[in-house]
Amino acid sequence: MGRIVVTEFVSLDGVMEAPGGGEDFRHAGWTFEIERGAEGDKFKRDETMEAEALLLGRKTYEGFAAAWPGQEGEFADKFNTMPKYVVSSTLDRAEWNNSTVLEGDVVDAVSELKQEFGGDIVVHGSAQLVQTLLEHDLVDELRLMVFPVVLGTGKRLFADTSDKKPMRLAESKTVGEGVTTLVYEPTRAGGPR
Amino acid sequence: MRKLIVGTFVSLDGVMQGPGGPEEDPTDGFTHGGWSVNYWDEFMGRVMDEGTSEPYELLLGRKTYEIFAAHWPHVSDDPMADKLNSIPKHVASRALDTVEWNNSNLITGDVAEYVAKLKEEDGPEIQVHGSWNLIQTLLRHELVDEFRVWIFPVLIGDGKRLFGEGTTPSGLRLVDTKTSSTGVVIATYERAGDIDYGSFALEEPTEAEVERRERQADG
Repeated sequence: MGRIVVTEFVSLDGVMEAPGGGEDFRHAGWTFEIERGAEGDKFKRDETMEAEALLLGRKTYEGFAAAWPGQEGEFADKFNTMPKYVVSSTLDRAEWNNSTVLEGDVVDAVSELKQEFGGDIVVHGSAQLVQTLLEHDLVDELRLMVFPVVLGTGKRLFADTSDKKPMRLAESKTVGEGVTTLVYEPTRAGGPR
Repeated sequence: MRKLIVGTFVSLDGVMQGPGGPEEDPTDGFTHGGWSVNYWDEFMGRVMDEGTSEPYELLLGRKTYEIFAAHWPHVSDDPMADKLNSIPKHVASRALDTVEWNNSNLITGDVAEYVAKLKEEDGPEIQVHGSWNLIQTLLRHELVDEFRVWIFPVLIGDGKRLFGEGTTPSGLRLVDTKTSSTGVVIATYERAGDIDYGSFALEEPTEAEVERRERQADG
């Protein structure tokens, strides 16, 4: 049984849009000048190297597919070779190496993917997809890098859910220049008591 | 110049409405009131005591003022109550004519101007508790010097969010983090001026990237 691992860069006010720049957003590149340090690098490296596959929404897929094939190195090799699944109703085909467009109902398709894989299926960005996954209790781990900045505008990671979703804080650390890495596991029932 | 500190309980998705109970703030059909209560531990009690042990004044919005004013004057033999009942309280409200709670002052006129002036006066630090509406005004006018954010490990899904639309962008400095036994992350941030921007993108974007940007610009 695979695990859905969602990993995100967020501002303190929960904005996840265009953290690395290159997009048409007023604050694009907002993580760039904040040093995440060696431990922050390790946080990202570990999750990437342990990933078995990527699961992406259409917009994040397009951003990645435009950026990674032109790059070299450990991260690029991993991203370019591992299987990638794109949730999209508008995309006919996905040209990035080893990519597949998931058709039909997202919840069914992701549930099937979890059966198919034995390890981590990692979701980056993809706010709309993540909101669907959270709503349907399909997320097994939520990894956040919270940057010390309030953006005030932009796409937020969390939207309305039909009910509250309790989590267990599995890990928290401060890395680099005041970046906190938080790892949560949804508990799916009850609070801490 | 004295510091203005906003101390807030928030869910992981940033909701700050009704942490203490279902009756606290059920406005807009909010049904999750009381979401913070079962996470309370001894450690959090100590952090709370430390944060309120130094002298401070309170700045409150109308709704939070009414909750406090209906509760604390009726509590006796409690150091917290003694403190809250005696310290100066500044109340932002257009609806109230008078404020009856001991040592309270009703802010008439422009709240942002009043608060800016208050910060320039001598005196202890100013704390804001609860007061979602007032916080939005303070955020718009960049009047908050420090955030003490208590992040509870739960997604609430709806309700009033701490950083609402209209929040002025700001860089922050993380000065402290603590974690409770129940997974509550207590993070203290100070305002640190403007945001530095950068870009991870390649200096010469690939052809595919140029196409993607064009598509995105077209919506």
